[in-house]
Amino acid sequence: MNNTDETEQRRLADGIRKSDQRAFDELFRAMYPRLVRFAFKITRDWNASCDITQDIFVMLWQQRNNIDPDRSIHSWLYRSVRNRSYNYQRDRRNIADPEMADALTDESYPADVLVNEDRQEALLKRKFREWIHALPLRQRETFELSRFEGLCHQEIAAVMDVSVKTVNNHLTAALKQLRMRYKAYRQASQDQ
Amino acid sequence: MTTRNSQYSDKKQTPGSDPVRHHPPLPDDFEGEERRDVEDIWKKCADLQPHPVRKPTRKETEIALKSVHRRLDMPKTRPVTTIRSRIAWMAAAALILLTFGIGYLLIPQTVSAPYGERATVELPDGTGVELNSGTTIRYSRLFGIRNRNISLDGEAFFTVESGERPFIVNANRSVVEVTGTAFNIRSRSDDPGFETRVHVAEGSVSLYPAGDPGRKVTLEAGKWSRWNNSMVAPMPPETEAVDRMAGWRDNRFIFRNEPLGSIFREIERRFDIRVQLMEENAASELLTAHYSDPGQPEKIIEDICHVKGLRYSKTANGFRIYR
Repeated sequence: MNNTDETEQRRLADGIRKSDQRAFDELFRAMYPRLVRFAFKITRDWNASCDITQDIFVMLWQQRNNIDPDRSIHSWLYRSVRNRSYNYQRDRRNIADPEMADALTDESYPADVLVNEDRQEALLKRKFREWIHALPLRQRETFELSRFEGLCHQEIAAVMDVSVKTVNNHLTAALKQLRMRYKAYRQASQDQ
Repeated sequence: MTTRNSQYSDKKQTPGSDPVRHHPPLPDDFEGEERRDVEDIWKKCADLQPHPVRKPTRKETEIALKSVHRRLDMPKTRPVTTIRSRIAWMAAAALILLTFGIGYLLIPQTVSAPYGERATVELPDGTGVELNSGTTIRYSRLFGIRNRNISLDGEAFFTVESGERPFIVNANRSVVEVTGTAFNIRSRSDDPGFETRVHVAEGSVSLYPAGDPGRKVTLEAGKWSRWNNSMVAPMPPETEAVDRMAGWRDNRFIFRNEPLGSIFREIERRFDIRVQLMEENAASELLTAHYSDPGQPEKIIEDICHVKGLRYSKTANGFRIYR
């Protein structure tokens, strides 16, 4: 996240607070796809992820008077979507096979073997995905929010409801773990 | 773990003050080698899009937005088109055109001679290339402008126009470099050790392993050399009769101490048939053969089997060979 993003967020948050529908639409167009993808990672249910994200935007507009322009609106969105997705997943797990969600996740690594891509490179990518997936849940979530959603430490802290220091610790631990695995992997492929 | 750097300590955000932002958001708890590794990992993960890769499309987003508008009783809106965004659109369109243009130039030109056939190509610089059966060459659409680089898998006879820029053939793991001359290269990716053989008819040619120009061997007219990945440097030049160098151009079939496996594959390419070798041990046995115009493949198969104590039978699309 850079300063342009931050000013942009503040401008949109201000606009929405003042009932500017165009600001709302702009934020929706920018964030809806990312948030649906984010929700899907938790729920593994496409329609539910779309519904949850739309609900959150409805809620945002209904509660626009309470928006605090000094706080990141992105954090608020991610946090709300995250909470609701976990609730959804918890409720559904009671019905469905609890193994299901994990099984789906494992299956869903995209096949990286594009025709032109170097096989080594593709293999390494696959490995990295596996290693990220194998991280402890909180570490993985922190890493993904930071690396893939581009949130800064403060925003992640707000999303996950922990301190900035904890975010930093999770991220450090995740990177240490990835580094260790990567090292072992390189060692193993050199020995071959 | 110590928090050496204060920017990661819990700083409370107060209204009006600028919240602290960091970019890139790597923790500062890493130093030296560890830091470099972590930065490398950070970079490597860049395009590892979280699963699923799918995101709602622009259209799906607009439909979802409409549905949210209905729920909130909002009036209909349209994406705002300002002059600024119109300029952005035009810039984007120009960029797409430019990208496709450059992309087009970057797509290599590929020419292949299928099994059972041969092909002749003239490159943009006037160089003539004759392709033996089952051979592919690939070159940039900018060939002759920036450089004269070409890649080869198979066997081809080149008649290179002399020019300022060197003419470079990347043949599997070997490189052949010339200015103006005529020569034959055979470099089949399915030959053992990615062997490349170069025979020079006119002028002079350099052969070296890819990435190791220090091991260069220079060949004058009438000489040949070879390199495969079990050799440190290419073989010192040896003499070969010029008319035998690219015998395939006159329908000849010439092999000098080559493994049966390679010879059968060459027969497959020349005649567009399948030769199944059931006796794996025989694939590495060496053979020297010379046919001026074999006409039919069966003659060659019969002779090889006779010499090597093998038997053969016909199949629907070729031959099966066994002990």
